[in-house]
Amino acid sequence: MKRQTVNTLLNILAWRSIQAVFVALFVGIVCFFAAQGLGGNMAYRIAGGRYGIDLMDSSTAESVARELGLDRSLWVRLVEWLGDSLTFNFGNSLVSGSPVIEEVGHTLGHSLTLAGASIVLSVFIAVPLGVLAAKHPNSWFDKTLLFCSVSLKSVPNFVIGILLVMLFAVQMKLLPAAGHGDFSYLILPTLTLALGLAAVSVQVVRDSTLGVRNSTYFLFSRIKGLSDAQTFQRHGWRNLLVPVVAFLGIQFITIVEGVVVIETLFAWPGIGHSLVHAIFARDIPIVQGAAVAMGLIFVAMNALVDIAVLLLDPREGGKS
Amino acid sequence: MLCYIITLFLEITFPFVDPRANTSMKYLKKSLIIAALAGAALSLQAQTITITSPWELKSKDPTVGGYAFTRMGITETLVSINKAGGLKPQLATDWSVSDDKKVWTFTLRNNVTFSDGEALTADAVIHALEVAKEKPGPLKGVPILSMQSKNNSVVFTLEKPYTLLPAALGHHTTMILSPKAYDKDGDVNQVVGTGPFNVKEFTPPQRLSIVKKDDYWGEKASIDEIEYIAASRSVTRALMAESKPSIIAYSLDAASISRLKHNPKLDVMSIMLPRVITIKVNHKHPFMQDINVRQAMSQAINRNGIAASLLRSPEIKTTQLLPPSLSQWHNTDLEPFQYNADNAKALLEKAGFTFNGEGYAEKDGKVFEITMRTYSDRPELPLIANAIQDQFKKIGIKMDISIGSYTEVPGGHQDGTLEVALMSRNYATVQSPLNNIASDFGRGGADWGAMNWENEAVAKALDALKLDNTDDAADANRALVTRAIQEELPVIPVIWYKQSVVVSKNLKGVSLDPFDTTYRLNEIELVK
Repeated sequence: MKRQTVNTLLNILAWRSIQAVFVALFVGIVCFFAAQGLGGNMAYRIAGGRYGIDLMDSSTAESVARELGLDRSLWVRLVEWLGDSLTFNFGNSLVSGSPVIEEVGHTLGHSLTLAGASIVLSVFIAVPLGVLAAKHPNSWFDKTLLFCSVSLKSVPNFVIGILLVMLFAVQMKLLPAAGHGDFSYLILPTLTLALGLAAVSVQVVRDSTLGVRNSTYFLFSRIKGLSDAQTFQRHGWRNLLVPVVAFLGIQFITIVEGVVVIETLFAWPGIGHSLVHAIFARDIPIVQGAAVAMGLIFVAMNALVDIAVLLLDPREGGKS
Repeated sequence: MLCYIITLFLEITFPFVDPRANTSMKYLKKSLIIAALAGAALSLQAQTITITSPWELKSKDPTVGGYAFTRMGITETLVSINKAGGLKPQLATDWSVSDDKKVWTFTLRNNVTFSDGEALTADAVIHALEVAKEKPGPLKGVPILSMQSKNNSVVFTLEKPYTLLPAALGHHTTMILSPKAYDKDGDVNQVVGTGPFNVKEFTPPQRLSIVKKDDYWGEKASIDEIEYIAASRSVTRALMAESKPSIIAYSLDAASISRLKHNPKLDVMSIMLPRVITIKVNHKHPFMQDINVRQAMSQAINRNGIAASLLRSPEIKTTQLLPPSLSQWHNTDLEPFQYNADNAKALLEKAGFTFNGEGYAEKDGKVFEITMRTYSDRPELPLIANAIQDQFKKIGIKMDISIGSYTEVPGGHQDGTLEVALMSRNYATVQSPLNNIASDFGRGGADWGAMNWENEAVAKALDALKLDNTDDAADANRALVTRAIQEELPVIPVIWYKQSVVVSKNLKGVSLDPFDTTYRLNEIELVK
């Protein structure tokens, strides 16, 4: 690796680390105030989340308020959170009482597994098909692929999910319909998400490949006498992957954050699902923990994309 | 699994290829099928049964997530509920009360051990109950002066007689855990109980797996391992029921039930729960404080229509507050609720209302306009609220619906802003409905009960019942209470609640508990 590339790499890491600290602080503080601003009596909501409908009433709400010191001033509670966070103590859930780090870790782990598996599977679907389609633009294959992309994208994700469950779980009894545990539970939610993701990314791959194929450097390489396969090998992959990698980064973030519907359909204990519950129950430590974790993942993902792009196309690094 | 998919793929593709032309492929196909069958056999051997319900696992704390542990047979209470709905001994073999009804003695079962090997002792029981007493739950309302151990018994000394003590000791919040299950602050670290199952894996919010305990004191379980999956969507639970080989799926919606009824591998079971969907009414409201108005509202509701068309179970329309399954509190002498919109309008006129050009009832220049609070935690509530909105409109009541958190109901009761609320109330959180009836309709009303309604005769009858619900006067007192509720409508009952459960036909011995406290998993057998 060139020295300049290494320098750029270190710059990226340093800059992103500073960014991470600010994102964590900002997100944590904003969440704290946002949760205060939500309607409804906080002690009632927490008591409801904790004890359930049959045991919750105004007296349990009062005891919750006393126990948590909800009558203390906002600033005291915020400073307390900041102080604790600096020592990596993120507190306990107001509902379950278990440490935030444990609860968020469990659900975030499941979300990351699902998101990672879906992205990988979608790449295996989208890249070969997209590259192939770009080889013969406007052919029947290219048009069929576009038709499939549009149709898949226009169907809501959960409908695809239900259809897959009906086929693979109910009819064929090959895979479990919902839940989590061994690898088999991961397959259907992953496939559901990957199909939706690939429907879009296949077109990104196709357009990017087409751009490379139509470029002057590609033409020049062919004129030099290299075959199509050789040219694609040397000048195609790196160039076409730069926009694709950036796009995959965005897709990854979207599915870590926003697949509540698929999580509930497959009874998958993801972070989206637990965040929704935490907001309903005004479980502020969990809301803060989950939001900060997602913010950090956002930063980490950006850093990874930057690094991947730098490695794919080190010219930027060379210049600086 | 992979083999299965490959075989399937080959099955689909190979009819187009002449198998005789490619012998090596034929062998490949054959071996793949064998591998797939072997895989299937292995997966059959490792079969577990699955329980699914919408109730998420929250925590190890008995008051927060304890219902899951008692239902799954991990933990037990001193008293339990038999199949007829009465109390039966569990960790206590019997109990007695002194003549002044203030001292209760519960004798403990011998030779019971917790799953950590500790023996069940009176001190362990007292420790668990001391912790429970400080937390929300029925035990908090019991006027306990002291709990003492005496030989192998626990002696409760009460401030005043309290007939519901045994029922309260059947509630999941009073589960008996090993002293080692608690940390120094009284928080539960591990769920160490005496039940027929042990926790294998507890991964809240959605999964719990349990294994049978070989040295259980009672009827030992026959199924080795059971997994519990909390799936909040009814469609997910229905799809699981169709795909899992052995499953019990709780709380399914009417549409899924009517589809699954036709599945040859599944049975549908149902049971009435002591839960009632009622309308909570603010009796200080200038219009609704009039009994004629409340009667009009009750007669405007087409309960049969809601039960039969909306919820597809005509038998769950209320005829009075509590269903016949709670026989002591179901008063057969009462005249059932009637749907009569014309009479309802006449009642409103009797109360001094006139009807304006749009058909809305008016009194003193004010239109009869109210807001109904409800919540979607029970998905049928917003639907029923819509039906009631329509039915009220027919008699001239303009009703808005506000769907929010259920905590808005107790909140609105306390700050007085609530007008009407559609809510689902469990009248028997402990085995006897008396506990909740007494708090809901006694003096001062309650968050989930009467609001600004008081009836001195009812309050006195309830006080007497709390002291003794077995004496000669008890029946008369219960009749007085049920009649007053029927006539004065402190809350307006709408629908009783039926729990529908889908069970695989290869499971024998499944029974449903009317109080939803236990799944009786140790009685279930897997048959071929």
